Amino acid sequence: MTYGEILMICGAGLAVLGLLILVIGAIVINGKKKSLKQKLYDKYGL
Amino acid sequence: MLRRGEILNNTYEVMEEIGQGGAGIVYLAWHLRLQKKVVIKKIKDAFGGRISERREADILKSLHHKYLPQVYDFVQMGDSVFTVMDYIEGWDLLKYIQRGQTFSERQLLIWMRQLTEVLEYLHGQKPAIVHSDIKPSNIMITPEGDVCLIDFNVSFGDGGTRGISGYSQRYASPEQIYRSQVIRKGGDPRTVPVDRRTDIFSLGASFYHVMTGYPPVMDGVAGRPLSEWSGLPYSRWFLGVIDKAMQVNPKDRYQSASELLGDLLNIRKRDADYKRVRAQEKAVYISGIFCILAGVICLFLGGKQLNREHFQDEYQALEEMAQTDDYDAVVSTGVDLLNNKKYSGVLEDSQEEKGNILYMIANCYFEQDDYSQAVRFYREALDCSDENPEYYRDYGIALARHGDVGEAKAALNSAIEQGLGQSQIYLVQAEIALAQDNYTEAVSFFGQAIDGTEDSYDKSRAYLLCARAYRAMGDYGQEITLLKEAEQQADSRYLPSILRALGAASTRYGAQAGESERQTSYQEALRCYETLVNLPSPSFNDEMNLAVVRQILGDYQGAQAQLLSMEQTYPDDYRVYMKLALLECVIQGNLSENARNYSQADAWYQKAEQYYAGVRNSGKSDDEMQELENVIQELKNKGWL
Repeated sequence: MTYGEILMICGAGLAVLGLLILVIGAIVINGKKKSLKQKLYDKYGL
Repeated sequence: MLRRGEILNNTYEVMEEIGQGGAGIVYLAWHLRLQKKVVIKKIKDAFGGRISERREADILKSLHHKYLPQVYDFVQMGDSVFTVMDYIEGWDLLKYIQRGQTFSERQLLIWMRQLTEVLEYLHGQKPAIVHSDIKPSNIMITPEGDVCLIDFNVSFGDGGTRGISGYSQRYASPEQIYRSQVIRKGGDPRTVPVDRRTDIFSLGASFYHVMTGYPPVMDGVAGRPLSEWSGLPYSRWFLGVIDKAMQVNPKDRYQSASELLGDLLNIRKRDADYKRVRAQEKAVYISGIFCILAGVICLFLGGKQLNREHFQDEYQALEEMAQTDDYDAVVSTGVDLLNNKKYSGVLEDSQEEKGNILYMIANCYFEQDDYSQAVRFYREALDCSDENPEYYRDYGIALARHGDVGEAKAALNSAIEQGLGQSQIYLVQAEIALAQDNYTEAVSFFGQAIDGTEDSYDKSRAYLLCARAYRAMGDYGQEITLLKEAEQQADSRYLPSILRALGAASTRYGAQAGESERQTSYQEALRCYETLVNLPSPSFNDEMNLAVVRQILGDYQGAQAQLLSMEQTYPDDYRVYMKLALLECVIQGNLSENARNYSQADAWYQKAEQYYAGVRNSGKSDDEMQELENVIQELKNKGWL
């Protein structure tokens, strides 16, 4: 495998990984935010 | 004074008196149409003239907010004016304070937020409405646990142009108190502006009382800021909010209800859980974006690198092709490589390789005696890499061959400046002498070039150029002698070039030699081409020349076998079928008329035509193909086909 091919594969892999992190991360964080919102309301009424 | 059962405006039935405030007496009444309790508040006579302005009444009636009582009406009866508004169930905050009740920070934050929202609403009206009398007794707590801000008696307009001097001392802002003093002394109230920030002060003061149990001002003395209290069950942050709302200088307070509301909502941002989730969110976005950016950069760089690698592959293939004598293919491939837009960036960065491609193309044109094109491409190669003495050398030789002796000498001088070796200098000088028809001098220079170098490539090149010079002089015998000498001394890398030149020279010599020398010459050519074909990578021309020489020598079977072998290697090349057809015609022509059969020749002719169509469409033509067509036509005319 040539350096160019290795770089392309790494690049594609990183980009896909980044997208997965954003998508899955967003889903997980949104879930946490929802429960946090309720927790904060219970704590501060705001 | 209203009596129980009295009906106002045919709408409101007085039930009982429920309170008395500084601004008026408060009655509980029954709204006959809406069938609900309402509060009727008499505004004291002293205010009557001002309140009669319908616009202000309409403004108050138009207010609709969850935490404000709805004002239904203003009713004038004689000199008295009454406001009619929602009756709010529940207790006011003052009652809770008096009972000693304390509240959690959470509960206070909820109420403070609600009251701030109300103030935001009121201050946002046009014109802005300043309550001016916010205090615990004007803050109702409904059975649902929400606030309701009541008593708009002193809440008209903004800008401090009113002449109202009433206020609640404990909760009024310093500027409100001072303005009141000014009014009492007969001064102009406009000199002491009172705006929405006074409500913020009063709100803070009310909560001060709720949180400490002590009013903010007692017996005319202001209490300590909350941040100086100890033992209060509230966060330092919340205490700081109240203190800021109660700053003496309006400029130091919250400048608006929105600002106060923003600060209240910010308490969430101080929470450890909130900070943790925010940090996680940031980490996710940063790492995700970083990976994507890194990925894009890698893809970009990888694409560039891959492009470069593909270019290198094609470049190497071209270099290998340039070792053969397939000059047309080298030129066409080289030009395609240079013009390929995909590699424009690579070529920009690699001027040396670009120069080398142009040099290879120039060499091919040189070998085909197209010196005009050779000069053009050598010049372009020099534009890319003007420090290469070999480029100058070959440029000079091509110029000499083209007849540009002056420019050839200039090129030689440049080559010398770039460090061209002595034997190479002799080569150029030889070509210049040849161009000037100075043969003796040319041969002398060539000899010095051959003897003056040990480098295999330089020596082989010198031999080839010298042989060419002999050919130009018409001395074919000397040309062949020299090439044979070159063959003895040639390195295996350059032997093919020598053998091709010797084979071609022998073939030419045989074509014009006498009978005794013809066979010898053609045998020599045969030897050369047989050697070439047995080398690892013979070219198309090597194999074709072998077939041609065999045919010339009368070895038709051998020639046909060679051509049939080429048919396997080059199945799409019309030249193979053309030669087969022509050879077959010769073979059949040597037979007796009864034995002749030209059908195979015709079959090969058809194949040649099939593959020749592409060449014809590109605008090129082959004289031999034309000759074959004439032969076939003649055979047809004579009835053989």
